[in-house]
Amino acid sequence: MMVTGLIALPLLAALLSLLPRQHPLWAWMQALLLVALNLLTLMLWHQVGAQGDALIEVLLGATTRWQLQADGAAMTLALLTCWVGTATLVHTGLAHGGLRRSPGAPDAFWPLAWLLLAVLNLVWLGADLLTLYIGVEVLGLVAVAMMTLSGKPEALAAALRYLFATLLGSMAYLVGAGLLFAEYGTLSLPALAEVASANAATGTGFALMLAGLALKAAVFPLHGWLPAAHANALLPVSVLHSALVVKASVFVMMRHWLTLAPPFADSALPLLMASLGTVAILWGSVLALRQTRLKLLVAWSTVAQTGYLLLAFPLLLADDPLLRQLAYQGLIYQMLAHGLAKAALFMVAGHLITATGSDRISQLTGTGRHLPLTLLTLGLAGISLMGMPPSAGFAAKWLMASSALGSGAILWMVVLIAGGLLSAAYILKLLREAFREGPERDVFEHPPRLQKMSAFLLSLLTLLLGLSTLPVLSLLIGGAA
Amino acid sequence: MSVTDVWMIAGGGLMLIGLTGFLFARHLLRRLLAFNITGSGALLMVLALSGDDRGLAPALLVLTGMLVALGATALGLFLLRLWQQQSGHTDLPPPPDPDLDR
Repeated sequence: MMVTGLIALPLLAALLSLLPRQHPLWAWMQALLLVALNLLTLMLWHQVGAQGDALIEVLLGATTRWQLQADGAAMTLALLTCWVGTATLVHTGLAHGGLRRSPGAPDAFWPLAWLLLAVLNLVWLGADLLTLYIGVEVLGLVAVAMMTLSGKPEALAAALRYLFATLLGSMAYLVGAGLLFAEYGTLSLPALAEVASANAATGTGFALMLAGLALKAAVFPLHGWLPAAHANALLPVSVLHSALVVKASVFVMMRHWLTLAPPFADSALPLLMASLGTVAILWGSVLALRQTRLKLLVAWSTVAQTGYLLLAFPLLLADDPLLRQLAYQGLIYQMLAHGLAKAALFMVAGHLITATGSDRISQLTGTGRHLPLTLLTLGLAGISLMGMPPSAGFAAKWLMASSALGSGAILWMVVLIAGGLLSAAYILKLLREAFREGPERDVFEHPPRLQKMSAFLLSLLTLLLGLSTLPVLSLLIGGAA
Repeated sequence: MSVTDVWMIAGGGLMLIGLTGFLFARHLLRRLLAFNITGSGALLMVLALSGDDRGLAPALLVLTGMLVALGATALGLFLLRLWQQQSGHTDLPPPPDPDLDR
């Protein structure tokens, strides 16, 4: 029952955030709510670790039951949501006008951000097509609304494009869910897992849902809306979106995949997913490398990193249960690692833009000497994105690679290594510019210390989760059995 | 041809009409309307597929779909007005070239 608190608490916080921000107690209230969310999430995460996976039933009326799936995957993603959410809200500045030198965010940001956290937790916990449909829908609309907060015309155009993409995706999902219900008479994922078989109706419904979610997740070749949207939104919105919202659609894809893909293991579907993932990694990385603007580089890197998640999908269908489990652990760990690293990287991009007054990568010259903590954060997050040890990103890729090698998928390793080298290339491009000594300038605007610390702590987490993987991985045993 | 087939064909036809508009219309209001037609077709198909007496789930699915369409249309109209006021255009510019910095 406590699990519903993960949804109820942020919802309550969203309502409370509507109170006038000028009030002296407003910042304290936000801090209190964040502490409560952190405590609740950690407690539930611990509880699931101790008791194992659980289907939780919430009674709605006399006969209707609403099932929630509070397994290790859901709790790990809830933890990521809590960490990234906390860092982002602190980064944005809890006190009204508290962070004088940063542009901050309009009042509407706060209730929308909390609403986003509530809906994200709903998506992680959802165990049936209806809950997941409501989740991804509301998530899409809230995300569109948040993208417009920067007020720039480019952001409006990007938000409209994203709105159309997310609507088209949800329509496909709805028809797919209808087809599955017509075939099996149930919308519950655990029930579908038992009865699903490889027939035309299931295949069509499954394909429609996957395509709809792929559009929302900016999976290659449906990624067109993402770079402009991320580059033009307010910084905290880009952080929440790239670290969490994009991941929610992939997470829902994974839930459906584990339920419905096994009957189609021999079809071309796994190969298709692997190919899309491969092209996404290569295309996204090459374009990230070619960008001259900081935020666009980070945005294209999201397209590439989503490819790694897709690459794990075929491995979830391996014959050997051990290999399936390795792939599952790797996939969830990659979501966690990329969420933390990408949030830190976007914050760093914001700090460097504040420092240099420009979005140009060529203007970074000299920042290395003047903003050591920011560049350390960039380095730590970058190591995780490249997948170098010791980092959470390395652990995730190691797990996936072990699963791939076990299945004899040598080509998979080639893609993994090529992707790692390409990510190293675009991260090192940033570092090279930052540490290049140039005569041009010696004076930089410093972002507030609270902002630097928020980003640094997130990148530190990618390091710690690389040094100690067991606490999270032990929750993910038996997930893809 | 059963009643279900009639509804399925009607829903599918509406979706096709809507999708055509969605893909080819330039004016944002037209695209928003096209989306609404597609959505109605999709909801009709889901209702036809799930039949008469299958419990609460399909009704909830369709109800959510209707609410989402309503919310999305309202949000879309709001954004469209803002975009028109700020840029003077009623359509979206061609998507930015991924390679170029502007």
